[in-house]
Amino acid sequence: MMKIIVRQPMLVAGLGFVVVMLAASFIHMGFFDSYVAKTPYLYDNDNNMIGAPFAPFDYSILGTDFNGNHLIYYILKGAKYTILGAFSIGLVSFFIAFLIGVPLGFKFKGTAKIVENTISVLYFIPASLIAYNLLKPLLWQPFEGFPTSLAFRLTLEVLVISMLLIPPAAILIASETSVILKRDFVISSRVLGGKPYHLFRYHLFPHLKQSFINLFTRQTIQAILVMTHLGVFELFFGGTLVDYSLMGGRPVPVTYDWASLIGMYYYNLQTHAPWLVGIPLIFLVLFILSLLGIARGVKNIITPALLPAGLRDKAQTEKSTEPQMDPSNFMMVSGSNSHK
Amino acid sequence: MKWGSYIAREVTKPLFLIIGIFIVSVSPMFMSVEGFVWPGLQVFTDVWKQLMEPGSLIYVNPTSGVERDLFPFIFNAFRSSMTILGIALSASFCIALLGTILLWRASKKVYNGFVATTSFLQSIPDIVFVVAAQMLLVWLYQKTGMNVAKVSGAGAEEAVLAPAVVLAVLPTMYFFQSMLELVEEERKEHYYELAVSKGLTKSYILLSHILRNMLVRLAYQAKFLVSILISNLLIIEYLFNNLGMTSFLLDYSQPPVFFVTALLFFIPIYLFLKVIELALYLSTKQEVSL
Repeated sequence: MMKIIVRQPMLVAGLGFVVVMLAASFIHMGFFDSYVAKTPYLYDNDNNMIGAPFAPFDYSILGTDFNGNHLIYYILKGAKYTILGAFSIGLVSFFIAFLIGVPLGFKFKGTAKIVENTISVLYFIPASLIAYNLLKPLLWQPFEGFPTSLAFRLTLEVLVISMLLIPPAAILIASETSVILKRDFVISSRVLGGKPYHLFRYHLFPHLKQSFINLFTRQTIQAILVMTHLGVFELFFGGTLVDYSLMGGRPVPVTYDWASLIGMYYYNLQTHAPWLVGIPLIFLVLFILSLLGIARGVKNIITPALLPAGLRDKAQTEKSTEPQMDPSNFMMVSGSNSHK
Repeated sequence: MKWGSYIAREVTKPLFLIIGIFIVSVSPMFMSVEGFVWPGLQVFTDVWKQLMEPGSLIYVNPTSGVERDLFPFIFNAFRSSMTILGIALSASFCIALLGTILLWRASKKVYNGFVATTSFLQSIPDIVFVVAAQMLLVWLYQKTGMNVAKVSGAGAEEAVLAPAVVLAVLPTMYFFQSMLELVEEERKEHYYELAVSKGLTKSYILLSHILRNMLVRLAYQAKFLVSILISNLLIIEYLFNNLGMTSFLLDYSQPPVFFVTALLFFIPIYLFLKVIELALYLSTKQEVSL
């Protein structure tokens, strides 16, 4: 098993990035108390004072912002919220979409059409817009401070974003289910008395397994996109701290997740410190790429047909090391070239 | 009989969509600082009453607190959004179509390379393109002192070209990838082999047979492509500081204003999809439900 995983470089790279970022983030929280180093000014060789911001690799590896906060610490601090947040939105929306979509696929007519019509509003109004309007009262800090805890806000935000991502996914699963249910082998199984659960377990599930990985990846990427949009609208993941004092500064995130770093620094884009937006964006893109890599790798593993020829034999022989010969091997199969 | 059910379907469908828009526009009332709340039925009837008199609708500027009439001011925003949307949609479609035609004679390797690249670029967040474009424009200005396109603006000086170009990037990728894949699938059909064996030239087959079939199948994805365009338009208008429909949906949004804006937005797009549907039916006799 280990060997198969190692032979998938995309899977290793993607998993590596996610695991390293998560581990570093938790170590940073556990042992260093989410400390953020600050260098407001430095002295150069001629003993002149130079002020922040410092460019990446200049002094700190990812540079600093205008107040001298090191960006690398913000990235570490926010990694766990970004990664776990996106994954939990992906998981919740995927599971609920599955629970709704499969029964919907079994009777994909009549009422299902009405539901679909009402839901296709989501095609015309983007999810991030609805999320923004819905979450603004919750996440925008009121003058008196938040009455709710961070965990409560995070849970509610995950639930709301998942809710918005469920309908398209559920419709996708439903239509895929209904396509499979119209195939010949399902019809013959029905004729022989197959109950819906039997159809689901033995005919539907093996076929849907493939598209599940695609769908889960898609949901997670969608979640990242919505989070990024909300971040740009200054509605940060887990809450926005608003400065109500007279000299009020910009709104600041609570969790410093990557999407909110983009939103927090966006007004710096056209100054001489464009890396403040660029670096969180690069990390987000890397996260998306590692998700795609993981999806590709897992798909290659569960469908040996896609593996390169050398590996395919191994993957098959590992299941049953000694080929057993039994009469079923010699049965006539009509259309035998159908299993590739 | 057939016509009766057809008309019934066409009337009920937008009705359900409008109900959906109404649900979405009142949804913020279910959320408060402390979590989910039930606002009571009174609120909904209030919204409904306000909607019955569209002339009296006002919007409130959140920073200055000034109240203004929604009509006819909203039509400026409407025009701005639709201009950008129209330019982007037609540009991306034309570029992708041109690319597909050019790639028709390319080798298998180049072809697959393009498919892989476009599907990779699709998964990159749209903000990356906006950031890249704005950085590029600023950089060009610094290097050459030439103002290629406006980065942002207000009123009559609004930036149009830059947002439209950025908006066109992602849909181009989607169009391009779908077209390339569909053409590749059409190439496996029997009629293609027949045409080749008859001695027709490849370009002739592409232009008169494959493109036609490909466009029909592409139309099935129209709704999805439109949804991507709108979602990008939202972020692009916000970041380029354009006064478009999205400022009414984001900043000035009370439920009635949201409902009217979303409806105004929705009608032309829905009609556009219907026109595609009709054109497909008239030209190929295939019924598509968008």
